Amino acid sequence: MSSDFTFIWVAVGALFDPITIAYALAALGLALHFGFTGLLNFGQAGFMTIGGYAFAIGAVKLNVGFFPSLLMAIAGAVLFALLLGIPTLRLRADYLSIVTIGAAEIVRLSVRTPEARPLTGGSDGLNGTGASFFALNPIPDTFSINLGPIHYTNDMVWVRLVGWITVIVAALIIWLLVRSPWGRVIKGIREDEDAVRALGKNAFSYKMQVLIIGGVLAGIGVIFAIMPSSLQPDNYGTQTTFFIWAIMLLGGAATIFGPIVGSMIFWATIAITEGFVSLGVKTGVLPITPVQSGQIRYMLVGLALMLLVIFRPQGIFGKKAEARFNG
Amino acid sequence: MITRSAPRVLVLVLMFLAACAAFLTIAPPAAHAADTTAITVIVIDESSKRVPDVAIAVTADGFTEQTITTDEKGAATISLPAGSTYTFTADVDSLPAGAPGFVDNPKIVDVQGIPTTVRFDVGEPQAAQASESAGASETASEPATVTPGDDGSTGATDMGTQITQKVLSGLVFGLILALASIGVSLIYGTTGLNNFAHGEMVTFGGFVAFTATSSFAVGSWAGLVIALILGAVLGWLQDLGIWKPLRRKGVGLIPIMIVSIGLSLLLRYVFAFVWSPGRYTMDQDFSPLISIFGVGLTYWNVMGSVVSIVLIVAVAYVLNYTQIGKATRAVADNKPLAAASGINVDRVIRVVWIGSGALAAIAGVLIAYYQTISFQSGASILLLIFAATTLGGLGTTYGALIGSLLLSLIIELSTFFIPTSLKYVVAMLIMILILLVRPQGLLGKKQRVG
Repeated sequence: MSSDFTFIWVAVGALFDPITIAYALAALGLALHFGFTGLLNFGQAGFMTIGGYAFAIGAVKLNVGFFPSLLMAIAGAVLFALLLGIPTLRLRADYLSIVTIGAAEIVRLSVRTPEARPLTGGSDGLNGTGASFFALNPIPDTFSINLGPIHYTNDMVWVRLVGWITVIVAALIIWLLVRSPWGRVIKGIREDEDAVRALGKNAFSYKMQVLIIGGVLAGIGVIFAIMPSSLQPDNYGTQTTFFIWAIMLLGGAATIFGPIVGSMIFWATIAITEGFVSLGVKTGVLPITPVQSGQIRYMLVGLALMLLVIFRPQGIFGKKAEARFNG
Repeated sequence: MITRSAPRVLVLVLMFLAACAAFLTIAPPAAHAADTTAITVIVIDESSKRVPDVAIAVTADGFTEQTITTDEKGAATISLPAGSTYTFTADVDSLPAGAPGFVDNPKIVDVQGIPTTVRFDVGEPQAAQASESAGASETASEPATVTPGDDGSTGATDMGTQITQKVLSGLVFGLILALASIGVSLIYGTTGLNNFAHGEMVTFGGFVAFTATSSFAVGSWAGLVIALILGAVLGWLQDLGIWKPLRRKGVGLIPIMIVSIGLSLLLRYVFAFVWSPGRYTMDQDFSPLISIFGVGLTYWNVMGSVVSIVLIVAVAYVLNYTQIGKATRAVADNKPLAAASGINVDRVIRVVWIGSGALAAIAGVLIAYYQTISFQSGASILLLIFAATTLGGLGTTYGALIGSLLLSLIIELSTFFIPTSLKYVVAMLIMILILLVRPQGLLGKKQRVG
């Protein structure tokens, strides 16, 4: 096999990459918001930004170590959910979508503003947030894994190991939650909020809890993506939210494993597509420039989002009956 | 049902892609791979005039230093090998006597095969700023009229002029925003859809006008008309190929909204693919056409406002005095009742899409003249459009107008108190605030929204 096809190994690696972990957790949170409760949250990227910056500021600026930084990220996401939820959760679903997308942009524009540079690094973001996490790594330096042409150091194995354990634990918690009485109430809110209210349930409070839990998942998930690389504010624009939506709808909105497997399929597909496209560009099969080939992934995500909603709203793993979007 | 409408949607999407691919051949030559990239440097002084005869040194690792000098239009162009990071240093001594210096100097630009404009503003020098990466930066560029460097402490220009300047900028931009907002409001009123792909209709208009004027050398007014026609066609095609089949299929409003998000992402990056992710400046005269209280307005500031006002009056006339306009209001008010009274609801919605597409395209052209045009231009004002329509009242036409003007004025004037980079944050906060206290907006009917 010629070295041109190394992207196939890259795609295999993408199945387990930290970015896949981050999006799997964010999509799982969104599935709780939208798939199980029917909340139109278009600000999931905002939860990632808040969690990421709270963690990074704790780890890099305040130097408080990994676990306190993690707590800061969780607290940040909870606070953001409260700020977002109190004014909007009583409003109609489509208002929530506009407010959440706006709030996520407020967060991104605020952290990237030059005035916030001493704390957030402005548009350059923050680096080296994983130092305290990698210091906890019990895997010896000599340990490494070779997957074809891809080489994993002990730190790379460590972040993936902890990340996927987190994903499994989160999936287990959400699974237990949605099959509990609590889960039946939130599914009831999705199907008919007035009926749930008529039964004496405080729908607002349930929706708030859902917003907090799903947001915290996004806030924790992003940590795994930024620790091995860096935190860049522009990685968390509205297109990030749309990626998470595509992932959730791909796997199945009202499922637990859908968003996780969806994230794996999504990032592996993107790696394969970009590999083939860049191969086509290099060999001259595709008459496009390298700059143009970078746009193809976004076009595909947009197209996938449209086609999924129209033709398979339940996603890969979902049940048709649960994919009746209300509204 | 699914199988019947499936091919139409696909065919339409493919048609979009094919049409845009066809544009590839007529897009500016810069969209093709190039070894060298044209970089335009412009120098603008505090009263928005272009400054000639400014020497700018261009340096990079492994690149022989070159010096360029701005012409009488305050612009200079240089072709640079792509793939390096260049430093542009403007020579302060070459400025006219008495000028304070440059706001941001030197500028570091990452040249990646995309024609880019580097802008130097004359003003009080600021502390060394971060590098600016062409093609990666997302923030909307400052409008060409606004005097930068207003940190409030220098008092270089007097307060009155500054206020006038911001009010005028706010009105000019607010009118442009209104064109786009009215379309969003009409679509929401008649179909219930929050159209997330509206920003892309705006971008489309800007790019059509840019391509028409730069590649086909048609006049700027002809470019405006071409954009209007093609924008209307885009609106019509969208309704025909996507929204009408989805309505027929009985798809809920929320899935349709998600489809519009997908379409927005698809179109945005089709634009980036075809026109490459650069920021383009329209060829226009920056010298002041008229002066109001000492603040100069360029030709396109004035004409943009005139065009906007004419179109808004036209929309108001159509809605109030024509049969289709009355039918539109009837559909917005009560769709089943309108249908029962013999109004062809599908036709009304089609006309609304065509009209909204045309209005959005014009807004795009005017934004291209007001700022620059890039594939993100529309997306970056989408949230402002939503904020404006929410402020005025979703689904109300005059609310969209008032909301746009008010919002634009507020965000311009807010820059007296907060950094300019945060002015969009103000818009978002206003939107959230209005939802808290008056969710139906300023002009909206009182109804249950929660």
